[in-house]
Amino acid sequence: MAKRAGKSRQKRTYQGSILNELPPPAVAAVIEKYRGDAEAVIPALAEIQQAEGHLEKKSVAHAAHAMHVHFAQVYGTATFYTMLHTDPATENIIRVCDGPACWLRRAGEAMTALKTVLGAGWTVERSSCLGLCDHAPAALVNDHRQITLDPADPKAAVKTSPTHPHTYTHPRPNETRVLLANTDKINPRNIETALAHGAYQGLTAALERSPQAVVAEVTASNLRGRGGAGFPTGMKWKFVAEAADETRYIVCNADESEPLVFKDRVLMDSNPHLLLEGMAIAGYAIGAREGYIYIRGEYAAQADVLELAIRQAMERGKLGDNIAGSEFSFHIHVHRGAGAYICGEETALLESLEGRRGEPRMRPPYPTVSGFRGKPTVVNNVETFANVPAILRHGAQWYNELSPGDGRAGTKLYTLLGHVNHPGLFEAPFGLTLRQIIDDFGDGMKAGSTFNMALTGGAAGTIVNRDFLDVPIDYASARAHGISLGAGAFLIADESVSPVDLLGELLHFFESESCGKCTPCRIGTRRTRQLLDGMRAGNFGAADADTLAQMADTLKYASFCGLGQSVAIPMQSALANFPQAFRK
Amino acid sequence: MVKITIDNQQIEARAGQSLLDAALEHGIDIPHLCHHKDLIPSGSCRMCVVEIDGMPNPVHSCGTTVQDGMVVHTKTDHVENLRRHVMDLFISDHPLDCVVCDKNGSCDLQKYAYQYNISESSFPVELSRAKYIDDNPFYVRDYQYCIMCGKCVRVCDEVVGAGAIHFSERGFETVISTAFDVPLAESSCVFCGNCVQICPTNALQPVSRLGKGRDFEFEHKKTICGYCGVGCTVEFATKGDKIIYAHGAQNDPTTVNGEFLCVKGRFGWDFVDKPGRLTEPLMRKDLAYELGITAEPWQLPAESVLEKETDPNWFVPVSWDTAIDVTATKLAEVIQKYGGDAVHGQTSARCTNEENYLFQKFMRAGVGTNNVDHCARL
Repeated sequence: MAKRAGKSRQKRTYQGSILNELPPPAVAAVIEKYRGDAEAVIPALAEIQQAEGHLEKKSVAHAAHAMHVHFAQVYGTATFYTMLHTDPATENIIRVCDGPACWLRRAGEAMTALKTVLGAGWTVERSSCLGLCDHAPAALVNDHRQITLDPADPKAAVKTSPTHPHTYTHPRPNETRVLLANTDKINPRNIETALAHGAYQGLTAALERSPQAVVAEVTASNLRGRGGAGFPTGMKWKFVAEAADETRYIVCNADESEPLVFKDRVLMDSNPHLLLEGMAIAGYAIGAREGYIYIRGEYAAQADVLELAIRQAMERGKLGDNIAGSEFSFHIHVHRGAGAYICGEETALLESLEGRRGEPRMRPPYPTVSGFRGKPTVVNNVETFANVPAILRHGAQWYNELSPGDGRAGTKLYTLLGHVNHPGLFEAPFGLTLRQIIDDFGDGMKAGSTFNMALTGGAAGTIVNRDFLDVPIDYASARAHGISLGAGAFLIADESVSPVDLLGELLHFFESESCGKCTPCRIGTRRTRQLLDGMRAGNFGAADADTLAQMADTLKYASFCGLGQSVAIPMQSALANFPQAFRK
Repeated sequence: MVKITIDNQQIEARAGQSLLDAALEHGIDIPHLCHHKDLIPSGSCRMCVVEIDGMPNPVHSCGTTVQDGMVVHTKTDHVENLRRHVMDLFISDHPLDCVVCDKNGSCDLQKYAYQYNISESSFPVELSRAKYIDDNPFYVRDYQYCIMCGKCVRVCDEVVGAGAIHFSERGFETVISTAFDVPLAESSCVFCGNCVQICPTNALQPVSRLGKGRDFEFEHKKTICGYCGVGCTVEFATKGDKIIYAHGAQNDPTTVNGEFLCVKGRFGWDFVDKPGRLTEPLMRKDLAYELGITAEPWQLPAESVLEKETDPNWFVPVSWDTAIDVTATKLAEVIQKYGGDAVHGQTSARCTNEENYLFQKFMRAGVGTNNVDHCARL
């Protein structure tokens, strides 16, 4: 029998008697707004939840019916994302970060304290990394307020006035600033301040050239994807620019959910126009008219900043139809996620953008061939797009010279956490060593602390020991030397942190964020976490280290997507660099 | 055609075909749990990983398109080890009560556990889903046996179009469910049971077979479904003279329905054993007496005829020849006396197109009326 694509068939949506019960007017208004738009499932559910506190069965049934999506599928989508809930919730919700940086700052104890002091009307929940590692122990209050918890006064979480997370507008010594240049002079809520410091000049420079010339310039710049994999950006753009299908899309991956990474948050918070401009240049280069920013739901404050910036840019003719009097039109839409690390995987992101569960797609076809809505799509990280304007303004050669050395170009945002004197974020060229990162940028190890271990790249990065202190780190160093750059995150730890504990925390994260699609990741991350829990409690089996090694191999070679495959990286590096810690 | 080499065997595959389909068609068995030839591949079970010359890492054969000159190895130590470990993980989330399981002997998970010699998991067993749902007359859902292959979700969406079930929750807690776990009867389920047929484990089973035996105890007999004119091939699992359950015929290119069935074909066969089933022509006793077929005089009682007209005691069995003769004679009498338009012919969706064509021809040309209709128009 021939394969039948689900999409082409008339869908029989839920027709039960529940449709006779009408939802409240506020919900009905949301449903009316999204009628017929199957892609809008996630924003629709988020708005329904806002209107009635949680997702009521009858409301979801009506929404599914109106959007022509199966009721069961909409329910599956609702239960996939942590920020959507089908059970009646209390009026207020605090999500306490469970990421490694917050774990080091005892967020677990702060959460327990919160639960005891907060009475009825408050729900306290764990959350995977909130991207507020520089605010550890961090929490998200009512999905919008990003705060630091005070263990001495947990109740303060309720009343803290809205704060904005750090934006690092003032550079520390030794920084080279390109992306964050002038952020001390730019008000992210006022486009005029950005325009006064060069915003959209890269776009103007691009529009004076042919799209092919823009792709060539970006290719010559050797810009590589900043999401962690380091794929050459110019090559990706070229694939899409040369695709036969003329409807093409730009998608920005702003689902920054990798523990220890918060660079995109800072970029969007300090100079949102840099991202918008980069996307518009990409749109011009590949022949796209629409761009989508998929931003994680926990970054609601940053999404607001972006939406305001888009409005202002459209008013000033920097986005929208016929930009700067040219033939080129480009519109940018902000799509908010609802709580799922896996949506940072580009095909899962596209699934989510189309309104479904964030489960990764089969590859090939790659998004450059069949991406958003099945059309050729460029998916790039926030930081990648943010690099583009400067390349167009100053040229590929200037950009290459920013980072001396083979295969290096431009600057990188680094996030530095753990037992150093000056944690936080900085911008610098590629090729730094751990020693430089700690001493030249982090102001050295904390008094009384001696370097013992670092987690580099992100949760899916390498766990390394003292032997790695002087290895220059770039996209090639993971393969060549076993120390990864990843998304540029560095967690520095002294002797007080055991590799088993750290790996256990990471596995706890991966288990919580596994989508459940493939067997190695769904069951394997849980079994590994359980094994490590046993080790953390002092129960070492004779074969446990071998089991971990076997599990890492299975995750690496048999997992469906990058999430599962990359879980092996910290496992294998920890086993190799701290072998004694896993045997007793 | 595309020439590829699998385990030193040269085969010709169709362009665009998946490596797994090509291998299976040529009798090369690559282990697989979530694959079905009629469904869009999902690549979720990870059992079909193979190594291909020139590719750095193992790839899933279900999602890899054949390419000319491809050299594939399906049984290297590495991929066999990966499969063994994936099976180890499956088994750590699955009851090992095979000895009392209805699926014993026809379970794909059991087949691979045997193949990879896994009698128990190297991890402590912990079941992610212990949900037993018996909410309809046709099939039960016992999710502790579910291995999340997702074939039920895909067949429901891609083949049937009902979309009654989907994955919900995520990670280790992922489970197949209706929206808000409503009973199937309140969902858009059409009870075709194709999910039951396609399930590789004991997670979905027809109610009719529960506790009735294992597949190796049954005889599987192929026939044509009598329900409608489509003529689907249906296979009955029987034990003695009893039907245990029905399913579509697998791997039979001659069927018109592939291997899928509708609710009637799969679950609507219980009339076969019912005592009231008509097995021969019957003639009302008063007519039989009038025609001299029986000697026993009999009169239609005065009270309601409709209530009791199916009572077998009111009929006598006759031969087909007699039944047809009497019908033809009576029909001719009516036509002669009142004209063809006094007759109305009603045929059935259970007849084939050809039979229905013949019947309307008979009514128009033979009886002489356009009074002909069909139950499927309702």
